[in-house]
Amino acid sequence: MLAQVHSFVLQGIDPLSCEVEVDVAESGFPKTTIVGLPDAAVKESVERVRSAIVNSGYPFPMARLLVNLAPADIRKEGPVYDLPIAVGLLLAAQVIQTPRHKQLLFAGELALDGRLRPVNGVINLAILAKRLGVEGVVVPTDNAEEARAVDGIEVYPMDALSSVVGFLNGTHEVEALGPVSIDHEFCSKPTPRSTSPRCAGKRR
Amino acid sequence: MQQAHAAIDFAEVRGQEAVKRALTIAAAGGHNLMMIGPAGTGKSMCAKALPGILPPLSRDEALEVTRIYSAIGQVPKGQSLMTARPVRSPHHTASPVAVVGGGTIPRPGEVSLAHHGVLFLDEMPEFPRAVLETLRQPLEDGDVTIARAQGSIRFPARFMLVAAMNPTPKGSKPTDEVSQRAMDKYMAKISGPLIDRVDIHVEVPPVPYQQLTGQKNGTDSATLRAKVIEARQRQAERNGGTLKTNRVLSGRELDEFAPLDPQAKELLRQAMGELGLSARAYDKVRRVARTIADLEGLDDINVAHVGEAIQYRLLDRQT
Repeated sequence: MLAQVHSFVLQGIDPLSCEVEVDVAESGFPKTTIVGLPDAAVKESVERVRSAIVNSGYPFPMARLLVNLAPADIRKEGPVYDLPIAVGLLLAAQVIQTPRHKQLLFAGELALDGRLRPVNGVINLAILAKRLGVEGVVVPTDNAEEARAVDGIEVYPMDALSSVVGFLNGTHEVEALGPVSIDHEFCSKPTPRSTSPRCAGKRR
Repeated sequence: MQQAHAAIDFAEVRGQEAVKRALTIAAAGGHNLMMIGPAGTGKSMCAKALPGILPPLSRDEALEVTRIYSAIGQVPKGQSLMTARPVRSPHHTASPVAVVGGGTIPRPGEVSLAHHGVLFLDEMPEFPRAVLETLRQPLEDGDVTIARAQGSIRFPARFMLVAAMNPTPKGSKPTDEVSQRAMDKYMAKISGPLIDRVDIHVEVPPVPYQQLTGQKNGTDSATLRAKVIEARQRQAERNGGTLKTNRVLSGRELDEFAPLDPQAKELLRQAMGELGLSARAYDKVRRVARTIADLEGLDDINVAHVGEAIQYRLLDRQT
């Protein structure tokens, strides 16, 4: 059973699209392989993802798993793929049952209890999302403000893996954050989705 | 205006009005600057106060700075955009990779972390030549290209270079033949081509006691900043609304936008001969003179502007 989740890889400060492909075999010795030039932190992803999934109360497939981070010839680094890999696994295990993930980009580090931790490069992820024309990004709450600097996309802040699953399945409402209003003097304040008023009470 | 953009206000720097003047010119035209003076005269303080007189980041500039800091996870939590101009002061023991960027998976270096801000090199002659040489590409092109077998990665690195040095290794002005020779040797350590890329050289002398203890505060940052912003405005109008500063004007653009009147031309010709200024220095004098005129709100550059600009070629005279 194959699942594909969209994420990103940074080249310098330029974001490229990274497809996280998760293939769960029907049977076979339970072994997980990650390919796509992963660095040490990415290789460790599977351990974190396994604990996070189990501790969030979801089943972890007992079969041969292959995770591919495409494009295959660009080095991948950091724990940023924890969340997309987890989402891919849960899609393959049919715990997530909607195609909603297809219009979103995912990034985040997972703690062993399923909570999401902030990662690097989220503003660049948001820029990629805008460029690709997707609906938005799903990121750890601590990274949400950064993503809001880019307009034209929705930012879905998540605290934990269970929130992400609930959100994708439609059982858990998550308020999308809109872009921040930033005027030239940089008095930035968060705004609700529909309006972007200029910042009030600016000192001159 | 927004909150303080710098750790120190220029009002806290006692005396040193001439240095403040040089820094104002540097800030107005985006020029690189070298401060030369003995220890304890306020060079570091001035460098820290400098961001306070630079114009605020435009939205695109802020986005670029945030992208760089985000890539290394240094955007403060809960903040959307970085709004203050960065100031980076690498120690002279920093490695070339730390300064210019690199590593197995390339990371931005200090020059990129200073993008749209200030790179302050204190005790510049103490930096290894290898490190100073790495500054050439960003100073010329405004970015750093890190080549790897799999391809090159580009990091933006358009910064204002502010360097400080003592006139001698010991820190004080030379008093006799022996120490003069020591000073010449010390000055020779600074690569010619790098000095050639610094537009303004200013002497930072010890401050007289009366000024240190006097009641009057020096010119403050807000005043200087207003002047800088006006001068930048003039540059933007001249350059068709772009954020291009005088520092990057080409020879041809200088001919078009910074023509010299006959008196000014004659003064510059004399100076070229007497001081042995290179062709690059010639263009630098014109760029700085253009900024000085902009600060006065004048379109035409006169002999006083050129005269002041020539004064800022201190190090050309010494070598």
